[in-house]
Amino acid sequence: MPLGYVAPVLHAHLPFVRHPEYPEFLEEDWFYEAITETYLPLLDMMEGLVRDAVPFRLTMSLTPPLCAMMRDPLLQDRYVHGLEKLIELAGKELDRTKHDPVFHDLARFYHDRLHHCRTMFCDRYHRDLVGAFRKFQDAGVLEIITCGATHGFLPLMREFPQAVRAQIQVARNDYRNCFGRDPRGIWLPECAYYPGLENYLQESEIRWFILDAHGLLYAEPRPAYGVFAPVFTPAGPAAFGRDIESSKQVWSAEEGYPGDGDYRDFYRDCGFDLEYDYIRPYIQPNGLRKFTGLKYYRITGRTPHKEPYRPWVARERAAAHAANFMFNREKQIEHLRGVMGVEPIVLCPYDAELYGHWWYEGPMFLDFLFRKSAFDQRTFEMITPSEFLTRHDTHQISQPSASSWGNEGHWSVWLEGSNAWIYPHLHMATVRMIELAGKFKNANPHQLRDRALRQAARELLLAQSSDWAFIMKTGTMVPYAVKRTKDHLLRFHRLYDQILADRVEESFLGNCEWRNPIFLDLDWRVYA
Amino acid sequence: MPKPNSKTGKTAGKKSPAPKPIAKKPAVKGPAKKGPTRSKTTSSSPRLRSVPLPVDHSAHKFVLQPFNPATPVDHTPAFESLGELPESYGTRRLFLAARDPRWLYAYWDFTWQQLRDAEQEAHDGKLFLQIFVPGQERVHQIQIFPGSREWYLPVHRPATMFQAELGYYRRDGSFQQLALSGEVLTPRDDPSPNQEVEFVTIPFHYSFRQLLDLIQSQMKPGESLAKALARLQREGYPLPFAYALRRFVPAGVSDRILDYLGGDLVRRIRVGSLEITETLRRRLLEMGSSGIPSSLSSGPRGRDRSFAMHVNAELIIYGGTVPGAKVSVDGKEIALRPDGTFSYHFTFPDGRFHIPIHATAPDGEEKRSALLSFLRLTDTTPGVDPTRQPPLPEPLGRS
Repeated sequence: MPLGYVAPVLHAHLPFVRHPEYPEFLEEDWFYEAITETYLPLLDMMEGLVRDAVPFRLTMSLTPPLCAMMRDPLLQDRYVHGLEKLIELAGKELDRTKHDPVFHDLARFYHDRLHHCRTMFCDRYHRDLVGAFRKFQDAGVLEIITCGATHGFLPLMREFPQAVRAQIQVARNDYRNCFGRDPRGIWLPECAYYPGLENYLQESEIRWFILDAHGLLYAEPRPAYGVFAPVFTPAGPAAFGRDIESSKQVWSAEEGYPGDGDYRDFYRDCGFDLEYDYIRPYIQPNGLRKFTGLKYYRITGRTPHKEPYRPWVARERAAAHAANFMFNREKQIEHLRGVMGVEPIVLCPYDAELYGHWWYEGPMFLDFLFRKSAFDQRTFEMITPSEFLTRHDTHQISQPSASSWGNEGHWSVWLEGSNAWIYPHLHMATVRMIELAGKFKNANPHQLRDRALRQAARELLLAQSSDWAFIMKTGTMVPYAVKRTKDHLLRFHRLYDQILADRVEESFLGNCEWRNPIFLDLDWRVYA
Repeated sequence: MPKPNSKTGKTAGKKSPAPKPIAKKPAVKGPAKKGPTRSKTTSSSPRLRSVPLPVDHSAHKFVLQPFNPATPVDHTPAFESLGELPESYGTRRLFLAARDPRWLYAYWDFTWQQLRDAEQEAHDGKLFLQIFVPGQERVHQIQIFPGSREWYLPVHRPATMFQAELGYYRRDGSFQQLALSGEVLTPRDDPSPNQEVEFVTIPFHYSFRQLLDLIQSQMKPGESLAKALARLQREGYPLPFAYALRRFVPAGVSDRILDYLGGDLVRRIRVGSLEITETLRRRLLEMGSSGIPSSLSSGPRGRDRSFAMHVNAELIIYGGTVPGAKVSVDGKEIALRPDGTFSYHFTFPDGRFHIPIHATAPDGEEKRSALLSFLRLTDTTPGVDPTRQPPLPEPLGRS
């Protein structure tokens, strides 16, 4: 019997960014880069673990917007097109570097990896990443959880129960479409929780969610086991708390692994380094440079001077860091077991996209961690929260405290000078959507009006994405986030006016549907 | 060396692999506003800029260039510009949120004219936003103006209920309320002193619906599912699944757990998405001093540099033959464009280079050759660096 459990959780999310109205759109690159650097490497890792019969457990959220993008034929086409271009560039790099063994090996490294990505995406998974992840869930090694329908920041819509319910229920229904079963866990957008939110989870039969540590530690009454056991909220769903120590070990700016000098440097990218005419076909159509993903240097140290990347050395570091992480979990769990007298669970949630995209060796670290944990120790077992609740179904009742995982732990990232202006508009659109749903829920079916109501709900949901407020706060690409918020709201209001006036303009409605085809079978009556 | 792990250090004895520390994190910033602040009306109506904003790579896990609304396209897409959102809707609604244990945020949806009219009704011509603890004292009274729409209010009282109202004083001294917010509770900022422990068994294979149906008749008004199940299990009520009759937590466990977490709790480490941006920001500063040509060039440049210069050279060989011919440069066959032209580029460091170029006619019958020779010698004054280049391949034809 293990002394305790470790539950790694990856939150995979990107906002819905899809612009058919432009031949190329820079912000779509978020998605394409994440496929190449995060999603495919994670799938590759799981393929290897299953092939080698390594017992492992991983929990991942795949948010509805991310699933919608993964299943979108336009974005799939554009990804393959971009990948072909990158493969072409990697081929040229092989030529260009042929007399320099160090860089030639690196060029070969990328050339092979990109080819491998194409093989995985096109041949092995036939472009269906949702299906690829689903396969691992069906095999019992991966638990996929849901999220808010569009990653809406739920505490700031709490005055509108229908809006909170819509975020949860639309997400649940989308999960059913994607994964053929009901979700059992949810990643609350930004881990943002307020007391009472669990009632909506109960309605949707969602059994557990994750809080930042203080959300659980400051629960009422005080949880006896801190963050090392879940509590049952009064409505029934269980709340797990984030382990501070393991989070910090991976991500702390002071002592985190990803800053190791042997790891690949994120910023030194061929898109910025190479001679302009040579790189011109692979950057933005308007001639501005951009990241290509071909990065030849390692972090080296706190210096502008960077040394060439050495993949085999980085691999050794990832193995060492995995060993260090495992060792610390062993010691942590031995200690906690002694204090608690029951098996502790150490829950380690992270942004998925940071594994691979930002920390290039992150998937490799996870791979080593799973393998070492399976074969090199007996102190803990990897587990998913659902599996834990199946094995351990008796817990303390407590009401967690309002909290989020953002800076300072509450709402200040999403509610401050740069972004607070959005809430009166979001609330107004919510009020109007509730009004529409109430007015038409019992009306005779009317195809055009139903389409308009469904699209209005889509536009509202998309406007609610917490990503826009986050981008406004952090100050990069603010005009894009502002435009997205406004565009969705303006489309919503126009549809609202047309629906009430019984004059739905089909060309406008069709344009909205063409731009934002998410939640194809959305039931707008959820707002009634 | 790694920072000793404060927890595992207790049981240290086996050598742990050593992660290398990375740089220090900037101090956590305090609240954005220092006191009740007059709202800026401009903040409610941001407009797209016609030029890209300065780039701050620290802001997002996906670091890309600023959105460029002027992406060249043949035509403006249909329904691309739908106008502007109104300044307000005039719903006369007052919204209050507990932003954190110490700050409240209020906004109100009144048009300028609505507030102006109310102002004229007031005996002293003033409108007020008031914050109070329901049934108890008023904690804030802020005069507002018809142009304002929001306010951040310091309360510094965790776990307290607050409510806001907007209005003015009549001539008789009574307060005329224009709008009343809902009640909001500031979050706790420390562990609860209540250490009562109540366990419940909630079997995972029973849906909430099934459990509710099972005990519906036994539930008291307002009782939650978990509380009702716990009570019934305490009373030994027969349920179709096994449950823990008694569960005991040894005295002091909760305190020992909090002690264990103590350091982290005090430091309030929240390793959220912004933690990452701190790392990115730090890297940005490092890069800003190196002159990397990137989208950073339109953004902050990190620390100032003294006067400097950099210079470098690359070499492009280009030419043409007939389509379908074969061309090799220093022995390597290169691809021709459809019209038979070609180009090939190398970095060009100091040295002497001889590069043979051969073309073979499509039928293989004829050949043409050229030998290009180059010499680069660089002599610089102090303070001149080579311009950063792509990973430098050995140039072809070096002698």
